[in-house]
Amino acid sequence: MAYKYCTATNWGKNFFTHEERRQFHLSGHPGEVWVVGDNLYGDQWISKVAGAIKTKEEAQAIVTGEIEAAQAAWDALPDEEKTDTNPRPVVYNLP
Amino acid sequence: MSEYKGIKGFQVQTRSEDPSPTEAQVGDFYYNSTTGQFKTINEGGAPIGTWASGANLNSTRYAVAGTGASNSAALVFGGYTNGPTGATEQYDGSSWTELNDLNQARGYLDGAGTYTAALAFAGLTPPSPGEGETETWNGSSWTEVNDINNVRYNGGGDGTQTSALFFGGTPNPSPSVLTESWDGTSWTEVNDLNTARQGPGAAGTSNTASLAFGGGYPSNTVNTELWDGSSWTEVNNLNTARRNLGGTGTTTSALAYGGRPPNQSVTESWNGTSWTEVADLALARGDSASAGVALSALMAGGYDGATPFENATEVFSADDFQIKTVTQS
Repeated sequence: MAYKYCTATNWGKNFFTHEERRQFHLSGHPGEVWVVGDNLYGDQWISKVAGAIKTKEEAQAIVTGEIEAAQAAWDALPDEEKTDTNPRPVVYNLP
Repeated sequence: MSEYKGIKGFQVQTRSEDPSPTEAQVGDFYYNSTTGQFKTINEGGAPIGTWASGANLNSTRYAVAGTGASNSAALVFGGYTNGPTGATEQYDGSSWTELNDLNQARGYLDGAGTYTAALAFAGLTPPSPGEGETETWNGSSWTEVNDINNVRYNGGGDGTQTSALFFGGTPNPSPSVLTESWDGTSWTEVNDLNTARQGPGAAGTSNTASLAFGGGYPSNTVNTELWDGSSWTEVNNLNTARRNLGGTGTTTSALAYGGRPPNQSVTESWNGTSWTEVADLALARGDSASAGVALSALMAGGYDGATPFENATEVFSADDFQIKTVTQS
């Protein structure tokens, strides 16, 4: 499946609708990065939310930067706050 | 060639508009003269459901509890936002409204009931090892009532304000198999889970009918157990192991969604016998509030793997029936 990548701020209700979720792939990631199915409906949604188009590499860099910042914050925590409910964030690859 | 009349006993109906389907109409085939399309009426339910964005919470947080009858009648309370919070918000399908706080600010608590008659129990307020506090919600304020017997947090809970169940969690023991039953006045320890777990999903309507799924620590589990009012029985497993996931519904129609680690967007539907994957969340996350029922669920707040203080809401909706246009392909 082909994807497009953008950044957009989730304003809440109707940012993405049930109908839109049926029409194209959509997943949100740290740094307000969105992975969008590459079809007409996905393009329309990017326009609707005023998404700023990114390359996959640019989008991945934003996500990785957010997670690495979270890792640094986690590393700085006192040991008693590194609990089983608070595992260290893990960098992952966008589809 | 067989004719439709020969199979169904009557000719293809012509309708000027689509009907509001009933169970008896499932399988029907008709012609919509207004749109010029042939259509069929199919079963609906969770397999055709999708997640859409709802209004953002006013108070960003994770490790937050939720309860409510649907994705437009929900209550979320507690959690962490740079420390434990008692913030309580009510959702009406359009926006979140801030109401009176919990008396005991805490995260990793559980909830049961509706947005006008709710129950909040257990939780964690560091450096305390866990909270036993139970509070009842009357639609406008929280009142402290009798505590849980075995103090712990990050368990599973469901039911109503007068009939609820709390199971698993940590650290007493860690992870815990303990189960406690609420009768509207006090908690009573009852038979243990078969599999110890923290952060399980929960679905159920009373202290005699509950489903525990997922959870675990240190490894996530797919294990699912059914509570019948006296003991837990192992039933078919989830497809995706996770903990700190969302859960809503009953013991015969439930939804499991989200969770971590790693952060999950997977949603699964329980039909009383087995789990089936349905539409994913858009935002993979755990430690969120969940509310509603299997065909009308809500997930709010949580942790997405980098930002611990999510304010996003997603709502799951599925119709009982589906009208599909017949196309040539």
